[in-house]
Amino acid sequence: MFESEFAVQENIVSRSNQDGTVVIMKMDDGNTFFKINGVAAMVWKELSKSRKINEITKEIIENYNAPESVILSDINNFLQTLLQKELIKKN
Amino acid sequence: MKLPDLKEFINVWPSSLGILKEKVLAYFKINNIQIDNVWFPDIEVIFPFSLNNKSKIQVVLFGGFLERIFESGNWPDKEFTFWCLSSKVKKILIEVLDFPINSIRTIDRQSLFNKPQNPIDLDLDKISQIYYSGRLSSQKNIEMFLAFTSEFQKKVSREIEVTLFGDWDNHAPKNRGRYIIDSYQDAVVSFQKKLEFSSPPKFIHSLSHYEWPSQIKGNAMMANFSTFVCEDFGVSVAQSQELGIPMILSKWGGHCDVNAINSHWVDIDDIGESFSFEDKIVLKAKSVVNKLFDKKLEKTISEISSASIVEYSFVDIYILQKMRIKAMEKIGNEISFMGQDRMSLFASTTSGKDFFKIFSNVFSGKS
Repeated sequence: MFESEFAVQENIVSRSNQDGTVVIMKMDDGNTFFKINGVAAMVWKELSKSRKINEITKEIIENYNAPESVILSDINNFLQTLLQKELIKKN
Repeated sequence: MKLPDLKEFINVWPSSLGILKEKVLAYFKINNIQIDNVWFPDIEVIFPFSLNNKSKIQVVLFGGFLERIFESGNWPDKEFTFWCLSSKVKKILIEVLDFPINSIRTIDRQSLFNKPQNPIDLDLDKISQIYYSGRLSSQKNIEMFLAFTSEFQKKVSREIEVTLFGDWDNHAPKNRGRYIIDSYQDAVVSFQKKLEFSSPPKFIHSLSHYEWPSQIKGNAMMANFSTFVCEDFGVSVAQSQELGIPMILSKWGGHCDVNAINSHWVDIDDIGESFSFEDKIVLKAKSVVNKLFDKKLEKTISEISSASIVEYSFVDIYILQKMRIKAMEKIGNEISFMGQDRMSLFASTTSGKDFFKIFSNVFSGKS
C-alpha cells in the first residue's frame, strides 16, 4: 500500500475547517458528505497537495508519539476506506 | 415585540409585482387581449369593486399562485380564466392540482422584456463583477451566492467585485416548514466572515429596479441561486438578460424558462440552501464553480413556445371548488392551510412534505 501513489479523485471537493476537520463531497452526489479529523485529516490535506503517501507516513511517524505499527495500520485502513468510497484513486 | 418594518413590503414587493403588472397589461394590449376584466390577485388582494359588473374574469397569477388558488373559495360567483408567467407554474396547476388544461395560459417571459441587442459572451477569464439583485432573504439562498463568489475569486486568483443589490428581510422559506428568523442579516454576516474574499462583498441597499442596473460595470455576471417557492419569474433576471449579461441561475421555477445562450443553470441538488450546514453550502458552491469552469453546467436554452392558436376556456367558481376538494382528497386536508396564509404550517405536516417533494420535482424540471 505504501509503495503505491494515490491521488484525490477529480470529482471531489473538500473544505478544511479551522478546527482541523476536513469535509468532503463528490460533485455528482450533493447529498453525501464525509467528515474526517485528526491524523486522517492531515493525510487527506497532504494527498490533496499531490504528496506521496510514503512521505506523508514518514512525517507522521516522526511527529507523533505513537507506535509505528499503529500509525501504519491506521493509515492503511484509512486509505482502504478512501479507495472503497472512491474518494481517491491509485496512480 | 417589534412589528416588521413595513418598508420591505412597500419598497420591494410592489416594485417587482408592479413592473410585472405593467408588462402584462402592455402584452395584452399589443396582442389585442381584453384588459377591462383583468385581475391581479397577488397585488389587488381583495376582488376589485370595479370588476363586480363583469361575469368573466381573467386572473393573472404571480408567485403567490398556490395561496391564491386555495383562497379562491372567497372569490365571487363568476367565471375565470388564468394566466401565469412560467411553464412550471402551469405544470403544477395542471398536473399536481388538476386544473382544467385549457383554463390556464402561460405568457412567454421572452415577450415581456426586450431581447438583448448584444448578448455578452461569458468569458470567465475576464469577469470583473459578480452581482445579485433582489431581496436579501433566506428564500434566495444568499449564503450560496456568497460562497460561490468566494470560491470563484479563489479559482481565478484575482479581485472580482462582489455586489448585492437589495434589502434584508427575515422571511423564511415557507415550503420548508416553520422557521423563525431573528435576523437573517446577522446570520449572513457571520457566515461571510468565515469565507475568504480577496475583495469583500458590497451590499447596496434601497435601489429600485430602475436604479440598480446603472451600477453594473463591464464584464459583469449575475448569479441567482433562489429556490423560493414563489420564484415564478425573476424581474432582476429578466433585466439582466435584457442587458445581455451572462447569468448563473438555479434551475427552478421561472428561471427554467430563461432562454439565454450566454447563461447557465445550476441543478437545485447542487445548491446549498439557507439553513443547510455551513460546510454543505461551501462545498456545493465549490462544486458549482468547478462545474462552471469545466463547462459542465447546462446552458439556459429553454423550449420556445410556438406561435399557435391556443384554445382556452373559462371555469366557474364551482369547478375551482371541486379542484380544491380533489386536492384535499389527493394530498390531504392540511393543504387548505395554504388558503389561510399558512403555507409553512402545511409544509411542516407529512402531507405537506410529500406535496413539496412533488412540487420541487416539477418546479425544477426534473419531472
